[in-house]
Amino acid sequence: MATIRLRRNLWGGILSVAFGLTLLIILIPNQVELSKYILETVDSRFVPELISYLFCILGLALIFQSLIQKNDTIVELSIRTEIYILLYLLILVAYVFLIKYIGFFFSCLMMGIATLAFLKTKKISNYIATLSTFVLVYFAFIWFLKVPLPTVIGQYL
Amino acid sequence: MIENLTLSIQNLLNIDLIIFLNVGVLAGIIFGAIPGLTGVLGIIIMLPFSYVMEPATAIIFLTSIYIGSQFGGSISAILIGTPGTNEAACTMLEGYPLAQQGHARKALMVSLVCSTIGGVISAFVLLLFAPPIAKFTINFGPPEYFALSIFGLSIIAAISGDSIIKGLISGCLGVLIAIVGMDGISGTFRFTFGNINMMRGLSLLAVLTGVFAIPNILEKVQDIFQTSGKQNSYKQVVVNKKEQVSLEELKMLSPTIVKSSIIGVIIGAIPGAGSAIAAFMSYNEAKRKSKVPQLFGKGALEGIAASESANSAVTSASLIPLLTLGIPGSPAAAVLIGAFMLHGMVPGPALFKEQGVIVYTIMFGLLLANFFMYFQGRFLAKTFAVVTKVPNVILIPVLALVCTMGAYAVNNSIFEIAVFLVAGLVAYLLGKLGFPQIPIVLGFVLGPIAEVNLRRSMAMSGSQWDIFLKRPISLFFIILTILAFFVGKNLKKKVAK
Repeated sequence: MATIRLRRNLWGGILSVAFGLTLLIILIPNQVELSKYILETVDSRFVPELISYLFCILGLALIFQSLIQKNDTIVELSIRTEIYILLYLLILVAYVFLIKYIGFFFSCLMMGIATLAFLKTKKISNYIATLSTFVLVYFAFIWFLKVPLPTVIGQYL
Repeated sequence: MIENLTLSIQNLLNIDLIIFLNVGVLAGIIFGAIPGLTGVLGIIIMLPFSYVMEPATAIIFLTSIYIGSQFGGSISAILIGTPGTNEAACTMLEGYPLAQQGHARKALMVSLVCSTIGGVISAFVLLLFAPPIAKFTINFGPPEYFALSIFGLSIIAAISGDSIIKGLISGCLGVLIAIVGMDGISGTFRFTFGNINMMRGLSLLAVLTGVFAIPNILEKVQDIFQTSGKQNSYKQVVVNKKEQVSLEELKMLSPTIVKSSIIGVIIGAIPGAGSAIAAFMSYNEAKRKSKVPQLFGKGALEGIAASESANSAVTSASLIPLLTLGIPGSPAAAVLIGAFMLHGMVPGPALFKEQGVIVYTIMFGLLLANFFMYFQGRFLAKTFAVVTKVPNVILIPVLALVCTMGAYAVNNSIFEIAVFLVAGLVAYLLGKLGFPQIPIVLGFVLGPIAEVNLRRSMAMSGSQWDIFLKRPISLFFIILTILAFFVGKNLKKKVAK
């Protein structure tokens, strides 16, 4: 089975430094406004900048641990399993996307069926248990919590 | 204070509160009993259901889940040899062999009695010690609050898993997520990308649910594919309904129960230590002092008593730093901070002054929850055994549904579900690289408190940074923060040993 070997500290460090630099160079100057009226020593950019520096410093420390101190753990990821996880995430994204068009009730039922089929479940009892729990949870939110879930047919569906 | 006490006892007689307290305990036991689910996840998933409740009822409902989950973890540990929660690992070492010998009911009853006693002692300690500590902290100003929240953030050192550096990076990420939206002091916007939904900030519940639930869901999916679709195939033992714990056995166990409860209370009150550490320490101590140490590992009741009374004694004690200082004593307490905030309360020095009745109601409620847990455990033990068999294929879609609906309910907006998914995906990917999740929550909750009080302190002092060193209490917390890093590091090394 094809796998990816990931050095956790090294990649964690690289990501942290890259994110810190992106924050410092691109995001903070463009996305954090400064007040024109209040003059502060510690202004609205202070904490984001501090965090960006921390991302860089801590990330470098992780890289140092990995490359110089040889202190790292290697995780082996199965490409096949990760693809399945990605596919399941896509099912969840599709479910959220569909809410707007077919309402919460039908999209959640579809998500339930899709999930069970995706997990290769053949037992009818699992479908019945899952879908009846869905209906129960759905109406608990509508009647008990009074959450106005998006619907397409009438008040409830 | 007397007025607060009487009003809170009156509140406790409310039938809604009693019902929700029991529902909370029941839900907690179920969450604790299902391997792979935890009390923390239980609190997060049930949070939306607390929206319709009064603040005191809501917090009692959620803390009851926490209390119930501590006992629930022992059910799967004893019956199927898989600890439902980390802290039940020691219970499994003794409980499962006992169950295999045909004494499952006895092991469950010892676990229940000890969990109840540990929990009751812990609730009494909370009632006794929290009010005087709160009285002392009532006059805190912005510099003290700032130093206190930095001390709270230092707990990351103790809860970071293998690497403090990774814990700190997770904590920084939490702070960064929390500051998205409008800056409360200058009124300017930060990281909103022109999106109107981002301007009000990212909701705590959507982020919390995503960070804890999505990795849990995806790990379950991963388990199924890695085991080629095989379902949980636990061997479950038979529970003999008639078997009881004798008074003599309880008498024999009482020194262990008391000692372990004290250890649990002390560990619980230390911010960040958590119940797994308490359970392991008490188990080791019980084994060291036992007259029959050779029985340990083969089904020693003392081992179950030590582990269960200690991990339950952590529950209320971990709320001492939460209620009085706003610092969580355990991962569950870290999540409970969010619950307090969602119900319009900010745990910390001002809580006792502003919401005295509610706080006392919560403390008495915790005491009551332990008694109700005993009755539920006593009469429903066999029923709880069934929930340990719920297959992952059902849990996965149900968890996904409840979490997305919970996220939607925050602002009745699909945007919150998107936040939930993105937060979850980020937490999952970070988890693959070994970054812990709890510091993200700590950063999210404590970061903005630290920032606001830092800016207020600067305004107070005319931008003099030494204000934190000139005020004795803030200086005390700064020293404590430095110490916490080293203590946290050493504590982790000891536990690892």
